[in-house]
Amino acid sequence: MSPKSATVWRVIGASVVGAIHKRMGKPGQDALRWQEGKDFAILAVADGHGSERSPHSAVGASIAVEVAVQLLSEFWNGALSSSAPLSALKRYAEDQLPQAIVRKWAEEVKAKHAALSDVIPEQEEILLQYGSTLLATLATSKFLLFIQLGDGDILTVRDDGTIKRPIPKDARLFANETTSLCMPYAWREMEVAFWTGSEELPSLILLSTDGYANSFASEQDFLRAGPDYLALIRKHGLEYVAAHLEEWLAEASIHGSGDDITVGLIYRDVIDEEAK
Amino acid sequence: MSTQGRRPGGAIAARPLHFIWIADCSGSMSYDGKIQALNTAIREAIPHMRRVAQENPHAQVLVRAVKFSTSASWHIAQPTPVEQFEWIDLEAEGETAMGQALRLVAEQLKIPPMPERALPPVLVLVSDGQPTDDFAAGLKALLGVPWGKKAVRIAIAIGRDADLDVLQRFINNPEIKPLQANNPEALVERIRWVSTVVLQSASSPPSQGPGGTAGGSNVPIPQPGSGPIGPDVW
Repeated sequence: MSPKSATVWRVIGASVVGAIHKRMGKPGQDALRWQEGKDFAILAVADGHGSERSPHSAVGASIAVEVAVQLLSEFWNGALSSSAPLSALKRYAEDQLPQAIVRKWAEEVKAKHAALSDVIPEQEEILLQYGSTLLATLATSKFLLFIQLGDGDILTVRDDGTIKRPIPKDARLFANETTSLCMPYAWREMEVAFWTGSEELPSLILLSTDGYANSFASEQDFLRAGPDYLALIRKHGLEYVAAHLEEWLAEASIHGSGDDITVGLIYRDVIDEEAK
Repeated sequence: MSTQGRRPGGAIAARPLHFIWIADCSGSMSYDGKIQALNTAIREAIPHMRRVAQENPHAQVLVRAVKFSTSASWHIAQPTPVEQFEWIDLEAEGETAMGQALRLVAEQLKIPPMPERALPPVLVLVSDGQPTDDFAAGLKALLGVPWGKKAVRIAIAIGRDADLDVLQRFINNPEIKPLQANNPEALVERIRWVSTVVLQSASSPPSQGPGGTAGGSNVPIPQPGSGPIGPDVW
């Protein structure tokens, strides 16, 4: 990278209602939200449970991504204004941020429920009705922050095509079982990965709900998607991929898992500052 | 690699749904036409299974069967796409090695050969009597593998001498009871219900948060019709 160039994080994403939900006339349960700034980007995806015990989980997923984007944005603004060392930021991200996210989500859910219903069951029962997973990334000029609660996938792709999972897969999460924001002490289940300058910056970060990986014939077939997206962006541009993303996800759902599928991509672009 | 217009990633595929019959072929099943009725019931259920599979294209239904008498073995060992599945008649003689049958199934539910992305398998245990081997060890082996614990486990009791306690322990879910079949008509009905209603539920289960459903499986199972079907023959 030349001295007069700068890293810019750009975000695209798409979410499709699963083929099974479409056939049953049910709404999708996934949610997607992102925010781009001058030197940062935030991306969040969430998957509501969609079960009989969680009839409002689509709303729960929507609240989850809103809360994640809001709190990660506040975290980044606080980091900039306080000039705190990376070690302190890392400590906060690992120790405090999960509790803050879960607490804020629960508050928003209870407020939403109170506005919708005169029946106020116990807190645990309310939260269960809105149960959802949450995956989020904050990409900045100083660090990368990944958080995950529940199933789904976060992948990073380097320039040379190397793929990494910042957060290892949780062996407990299979057979459609997931950890959730609605669990008691849910923050204890939230995994956090904080990458600093010692790690080579990835060129692409992919976040997806579990309907995506479940649509591929194998883990290897799924992992190929990361380098493929990067190659497509390099060859045809980010707008091209953004324009086709929904179509590709729909194809995956129709011929694969049948589930709702949401994919978000954070692309690391390098801008020549002299050309600006 | 040409990426013009090409969907990113490798091959896309429906999720495997393994359906395993676990059939009692002990000597008592040779009385009063029970084994013939079981063969007929499973064979007649195949078109209905194919219909359910066709209506749920995101689940690739793969069928096979274990038989047990004095020992247990795979009757149809290869997981067979339901579109190609043909039933081979069982014959009955010998003891009731139910525990060994469950151990055979447990071996096949390990990861691998089971893939992580599979749908919860459906296990249907059909028996008219009591196990004569170490059933507890076999059940422990089955519930000790993750896919065994997450499987949908259904039991059909053929006749009044079937050990309902053993079958309930296999099901391991207080919300699901063994299905009673005391005559050929009832057996056909129970087999058809498992092959259609249960298969349908297993083909598109929702995500389950903490706790899932009772019994470990994450597949909500509708209740079958209550009450006996037809007169008691067995």
